Amino acid sequence: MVQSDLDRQIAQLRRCEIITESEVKELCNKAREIFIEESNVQRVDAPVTICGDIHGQFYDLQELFTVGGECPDTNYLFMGDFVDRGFYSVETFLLLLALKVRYPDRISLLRGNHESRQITQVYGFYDECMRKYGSANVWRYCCDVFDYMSLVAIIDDRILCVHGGLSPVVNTVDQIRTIDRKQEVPHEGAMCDLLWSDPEDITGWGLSPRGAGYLFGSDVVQAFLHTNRLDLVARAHQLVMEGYKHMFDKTCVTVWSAPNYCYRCGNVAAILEFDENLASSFKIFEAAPQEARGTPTAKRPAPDYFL
Amino acid sequence: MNNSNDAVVQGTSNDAAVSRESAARLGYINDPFIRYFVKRPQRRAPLINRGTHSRFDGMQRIIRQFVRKSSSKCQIVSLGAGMDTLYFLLRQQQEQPWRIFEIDFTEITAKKAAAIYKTSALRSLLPQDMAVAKGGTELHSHDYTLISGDLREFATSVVPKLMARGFDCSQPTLFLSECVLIYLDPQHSDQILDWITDNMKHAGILTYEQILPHDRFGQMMIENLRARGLELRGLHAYPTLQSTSQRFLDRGWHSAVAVDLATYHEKLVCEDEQSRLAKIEFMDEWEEFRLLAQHYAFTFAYTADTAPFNSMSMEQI
Repeated sequence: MVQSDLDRQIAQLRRCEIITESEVKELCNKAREIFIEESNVQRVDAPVTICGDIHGQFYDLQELFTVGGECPDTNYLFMGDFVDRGFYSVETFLLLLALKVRYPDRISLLRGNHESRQITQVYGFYDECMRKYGSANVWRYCCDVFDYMSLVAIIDDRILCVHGGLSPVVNTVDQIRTIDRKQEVPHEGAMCDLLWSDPEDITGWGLSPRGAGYLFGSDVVQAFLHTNRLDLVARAHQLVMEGYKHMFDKTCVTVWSAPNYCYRCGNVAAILEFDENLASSFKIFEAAPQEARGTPTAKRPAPDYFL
Repeated sequence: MNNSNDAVVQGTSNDAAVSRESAARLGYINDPFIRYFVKRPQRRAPLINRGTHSRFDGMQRIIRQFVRKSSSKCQIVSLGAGMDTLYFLLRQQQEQPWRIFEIDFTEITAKKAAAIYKTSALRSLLPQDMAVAKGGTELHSHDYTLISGDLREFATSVVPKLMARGFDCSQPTLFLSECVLIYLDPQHSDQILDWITDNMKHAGILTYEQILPHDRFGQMMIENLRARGLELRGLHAYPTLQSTSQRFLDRGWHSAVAVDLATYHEKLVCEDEQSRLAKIEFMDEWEEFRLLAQHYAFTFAYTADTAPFNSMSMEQI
């Protein structure tokens, strides 16, 4: 791919304009070549800014970049769930993918539980691709990329970043390295758990109401951190109204980066910045104002309620 | 309230019917009739289907207790009934109360009467004595009465119509309001409750309405609905679980209990049913579901310590 073409596509996507189907195909091929070289466990060096779920809220992603700095000036780690729910999953995912191809060392993308064929057919990304491209090809190219994305990242050997959480069949980071990740997210097992689990105020492991993954308690996190000589589990996956939430004596943190989630929840969003000494600070941001959304007021989203 | 606002409020009956049709088609709830009232079906998101299930389950739970525990002469009055299929559901289950009265705007009752009349599956369940009235905007029979009226003029125009159809103030009567009173100015909904208090010997009411306007989700709900032209006029007057039940106790009613939809879903939908629902659709929106469901409440209240009301509750199945 010619770099000037890529830069043009990035500029286009930054304006929330889609690129052509053949451009998507080429971009996805290129991205896959990069992801295929990455381990299940991505090594990331601080300083880095970590982000939680985006869910197709493109204009709020723009807010995120305004607050956190543009890529490549800021080194980013996104912990998955780029697509579904919001109205601009296509533009959101393709922009992040294009940035990855353009600046592979300045942005890391982990797989979330929504980066899956099955989930995207229920929660909107598939329909959005059909609506915007008239066929399922773009959805298919993107799903093929999903299969190659890393499962976890480790920042400076101290902080484990993962979309969902821990797994009862994973005690060591090395066990994560042995997972064959290049597939659709399975319904059970280590890979599924990493993308689906949630921390909870329980002891040990519990059943998840989501029907996939597990609930895990503080003792589980403590044991995992101890075994692997880590300090913190940073994860996303759960809406938190304040944008972030510490748990278990600050050994586990949830970061949520979709403000006013689904245009309905009224929550603020957060990103978590680590400086070169791993000192951390949150940046909080709100949903992009209506004027910045580029759609006339008449077309503003009308989220469902029980009427 | 001007006419364009009325039209938007009327549109909510279609929205509710579409949600119920979605939940019924997917198997969340058993309502074989709702599809006849929905022109353009849509598949709702899993959390909306879940909430629709709890809403339907909660309403049905109280209604069935009322019918089962009543003597044969009981009445149900559905305020702003919209496309509710209650008559057909009860009729099909043979759990027929003495009489059902449904009230809604003329625009709604005309559509409903037409849908019923052109669908043989519905028409065949109508009583023998059914007559189309008022230029096709009302249905009159002994068991089932669909009348048009404006709830803002309850005592002056709705009540006379009820009386003309044989409504009996001395019989145990259950009033229903599913997202209806919330659209009225509190003075108008208060007038309905005052009329019930002053005129009914023993009445109960089951409401399902929005609560909690003050937190961030509530503020966004108000803003989003306002953008669609919908004002939740009653929300600020009765903003909490406590105030929605206090509203009845302040009128001297014997009992009033409110439970939000999140609690209903978590505590009052049994485990077997929960696991049945979990198999229908994958649900990955729990935090959002809880938020949404915390902003809706059932309130069950009754005027006097008499049967069947004093042996009914949201907890019983």
